[in-house]
Amino acid sequence: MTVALDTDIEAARPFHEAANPTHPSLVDPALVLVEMFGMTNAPFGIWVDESGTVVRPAEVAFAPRQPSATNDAQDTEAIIAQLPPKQREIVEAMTANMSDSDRYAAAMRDWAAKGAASEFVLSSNEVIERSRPRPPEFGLAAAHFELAQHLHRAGFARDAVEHFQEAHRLDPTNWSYHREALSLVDPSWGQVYERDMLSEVAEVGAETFYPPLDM
Amino acid sequence: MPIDHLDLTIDEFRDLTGWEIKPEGACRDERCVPLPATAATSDGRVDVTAVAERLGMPIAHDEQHGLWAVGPESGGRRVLDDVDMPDLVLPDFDGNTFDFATLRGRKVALIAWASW
Repeated sequence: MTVALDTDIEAARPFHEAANPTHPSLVDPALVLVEMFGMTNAPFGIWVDESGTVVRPAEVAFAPRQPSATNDAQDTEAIIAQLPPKQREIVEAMTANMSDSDRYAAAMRDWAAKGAASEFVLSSNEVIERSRPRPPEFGLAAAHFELAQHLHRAGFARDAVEHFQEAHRLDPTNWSYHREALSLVDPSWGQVYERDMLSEVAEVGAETFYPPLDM
Repeated sequence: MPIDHLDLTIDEFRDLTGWEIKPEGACRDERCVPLPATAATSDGRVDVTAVAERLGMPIAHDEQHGLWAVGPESGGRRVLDDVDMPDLVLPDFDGNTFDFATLRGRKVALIAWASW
């Protein structure tokens, strides 16, 4: 199943319609999955077995690149290649693990075929240990993010910004919070966040953007 | 959902946090946490600040709009403290709700994506 982490369902709808999925395709406008499982970016995935047990915690879950997307990928690579060296270095570091998608899909197929015997199924202790820590500042970030989303929906979008900022300050490696916040900025506002996305990634650490698969 | 006051009825507090306030303390599933005497107000309502602090749930405040949001249990713990799939009901693109529990008996790969 797939779940769109989007406050605004209409922002996600064109992708849903283009994909025309036959599996359950849902929306998570409150981004509860971010707090529930520690999905700090997208795409992230979890595996749940037949008994309702989580057998892999949240991790980067890119799909294998489709042949039809090759041109888009080449276009993206061409754009990246034209960036100034410093920016290119950041983008390449933050997207380094995107090319690992075949391995994730292969592991998923192995699990589908072998079930609990799959080498990729983790023990309960491993699932818990690999799930994201939640120190008090991350919990407070979640509360600020909730306030921000509420204010945005209630029509106080500019007032929401300070809480989106605070959520990001408290939980800087949670890129789901920050990317969602940036997606809600009205271009007419001008610059409301101190740094642009690439500068932010460089400051926090590009390796936190898509952490490498541990499988 | 943010709240606009910090003293809630027991039912409101349960709906907000999932914690039941009982004589023995705040209880969820099979776990009960004893509460300080200040957890209940004189008229029997729940002092959200006192209980949230005891449960390790941070509170964020928006002074201008008079709102508070209570964060998840935090500190010395991980996002998952057990491996049972939590209750999860989400809408689809047509506004119909979908209960994850209906997939029990099947393997599920839940993949979260975003327009951003």
